[in-house]
Amino acid sequence: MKKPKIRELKEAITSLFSKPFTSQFPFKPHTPAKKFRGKPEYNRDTCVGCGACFNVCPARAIEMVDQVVDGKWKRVLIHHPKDCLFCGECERNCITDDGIKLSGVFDVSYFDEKDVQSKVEHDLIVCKHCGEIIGTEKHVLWTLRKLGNPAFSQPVMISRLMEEFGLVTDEEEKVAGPVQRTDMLKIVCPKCRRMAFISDEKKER
Amino acid sequence: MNDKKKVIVPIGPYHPLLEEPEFFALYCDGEKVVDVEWQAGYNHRAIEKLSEGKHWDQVTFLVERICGICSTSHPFAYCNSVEDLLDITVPEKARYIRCIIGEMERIHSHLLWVGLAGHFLGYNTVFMWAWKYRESILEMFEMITGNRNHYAMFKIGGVRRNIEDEDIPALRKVLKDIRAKLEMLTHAVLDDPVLGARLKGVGVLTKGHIKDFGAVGPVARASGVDIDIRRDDPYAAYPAVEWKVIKTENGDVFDKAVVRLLECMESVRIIEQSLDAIEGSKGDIENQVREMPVGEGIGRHEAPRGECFHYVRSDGSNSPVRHKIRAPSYTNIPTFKASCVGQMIADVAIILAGVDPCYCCTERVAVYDADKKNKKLFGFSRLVEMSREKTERMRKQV
Amino acid sequence: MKVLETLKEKLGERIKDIKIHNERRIYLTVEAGDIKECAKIVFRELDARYIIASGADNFDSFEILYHFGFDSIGTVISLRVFLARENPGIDSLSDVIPGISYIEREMWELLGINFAGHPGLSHFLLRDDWPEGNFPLRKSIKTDGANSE
Repeated sequence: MKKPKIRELKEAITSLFSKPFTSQFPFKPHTPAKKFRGKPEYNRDTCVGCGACFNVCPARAIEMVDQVVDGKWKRVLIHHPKDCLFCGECERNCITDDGIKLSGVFDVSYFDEKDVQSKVEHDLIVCKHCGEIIGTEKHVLWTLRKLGNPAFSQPVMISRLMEEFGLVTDEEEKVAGPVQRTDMLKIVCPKCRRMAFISDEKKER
Repeated sequence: MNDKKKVIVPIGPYHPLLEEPEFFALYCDGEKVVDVEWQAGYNHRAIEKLSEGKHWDQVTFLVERICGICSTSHPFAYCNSVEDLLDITVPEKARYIRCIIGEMERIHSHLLWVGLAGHFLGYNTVFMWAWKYRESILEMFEMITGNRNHYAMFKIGGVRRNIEDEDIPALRKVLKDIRAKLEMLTHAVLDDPVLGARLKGVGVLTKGHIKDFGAVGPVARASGVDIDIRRDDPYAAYPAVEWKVIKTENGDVFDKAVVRLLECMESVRIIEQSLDAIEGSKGDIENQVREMPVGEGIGRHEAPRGECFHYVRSDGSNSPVRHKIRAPSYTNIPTFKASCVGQMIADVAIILAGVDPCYCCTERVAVYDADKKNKKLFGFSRLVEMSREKTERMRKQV
Repeated sequence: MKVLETLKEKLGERIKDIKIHNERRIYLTVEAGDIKECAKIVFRELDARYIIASGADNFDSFEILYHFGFDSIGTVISLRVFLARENPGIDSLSDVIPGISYIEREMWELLGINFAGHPGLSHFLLRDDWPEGNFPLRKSIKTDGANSE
């Protein structure tokens, strides 16, 4: 059976003299393909803190914590590579298309997990009456900008913009007692606004 | 069972040689196998229960991780089942892309099998070469999908990523190379006298066995049972491309090898035709799904190992209320009861490999002493050694 | 559809309900007591291929679906049986379809359905010392998601 042997011999000689397929990593750096799905990383400037990535992650690798830090409400989004699937759902569902993206980093071994986590922190807007969390400041402003001109039909948004431009400060005291119509420019959360319209309280504050 | 002392050979459950843990107990009488018992569950991960707590789109990623080798078969069957429930169709470009991914996976899975079969028989060069050719396919996967395994390409209603025109030339080059290598491998297997003597007539499964156990895939087609879900229950772009179903008659391990190698050639044909169809196309890749009605759906896909079957039920909420997954190996592995009985112990390793068990929910094989159940005679490495020794003996005879 | 007509003719009165999802997915409801006869007719006489059986926990009853494939027309016929909530039990089909014994063991250990006449109901996927009465796939065992009560 000489013929088959020649075929295999040819292949054997070719593979003997060609470069081995194994790469030289870690002695030489390895560049993954362009579309490679590596570790997700937040972009502090473009992420608005809406929490869409937290909601869609199949492995629950993104943690969202809303808490008071130094008297102000803050939201922290932390991505944990130890649970991550590198699927890219966070990147695909990000509302700004730029808040979190999958980088080319594939080497995520660690001694301390904080070295490889990706974190982003935002200020939260809370209702001055009931304390309910509305959303992050950046998210509200991003929505405003998307609305364009119709945004100005909402008086609370006007006062929010005035705060952004520094025309009023945020250091107003909490709105105590029953909400009245005069408070409507300060109250953001829909629950309290509805109460003001429904219960027409004439009690003095 | 008669009075003669039976020997039970245990193989498993955890062994460095086999990819996943599983357990078979072979009852042996001297050199011949008399009965086989299969125990499963070492790899059980409660995926059907987990499905009920995830959203419809998140379940795709969960089922992708059922298996590493046939990683795309489960999302494919799952998406088919949900699309059956919703009664929607997938855009044309997405159908071709799904076929491309599915067929590339078939090639890489069969090449992996060829390597393992060679390894069990003692042909380590075949092992090295087959896995080397497989590497170029995995590189292509990384280029198109972003990862060598767990491609995350499937979504209910379409695919998640596009195959850009600039990637297609590299893909075509790899396919051309693979075709040449596959031809060489196929002829090397078919012409080799030692392989023929070693594998022909070993582990035969008749049509009756296939029917009794519900076996599918190359295991069934090697025994002459003409079933292939891509042709029988068409989905994606399979009705639009030309290809043929490979079927042989004898049902032994040699035929199974032939079926798998020839199937790879058909896969290359399908991929080339699909690339011709999508090159330059600017179509949609997704049909957006916004609401899930109440109902149930069944979806199937011809995975490299056979028919992968998913059944899904919805009550209108965000998660499935019942998700039944049947991997092809679930019905293929019990065929050991029929194919191993009456065979020599030295052949068990290759008969096991012939079914190409993807132990996504199964175990390993062990051989015990029939009378003293705890006396383990030898493990799987010894069985593989015995298999290789037999090949050496046959090579000297030929 | 020809296959539906043939089934109606062979199974006759045993069919309690027909649901046609589309021409390749048909669901027939039969009584639990008739399942052996129906399985013999579909598997042996009509030469269908056994695919798998799925058990499900509807909150007020149990349900088993036996899936059979008619490959020449690419159709899946599913035979649906409903079982009582208390002590659910049904005849085992292992003497009609040898390969079905594994899924029956799995349904027994995960859902608690008893299969009368099964050659050996022992643990298949769960470990041998799994606590009695703990059936993981039942809805009373919660997942941390949307569909647990």
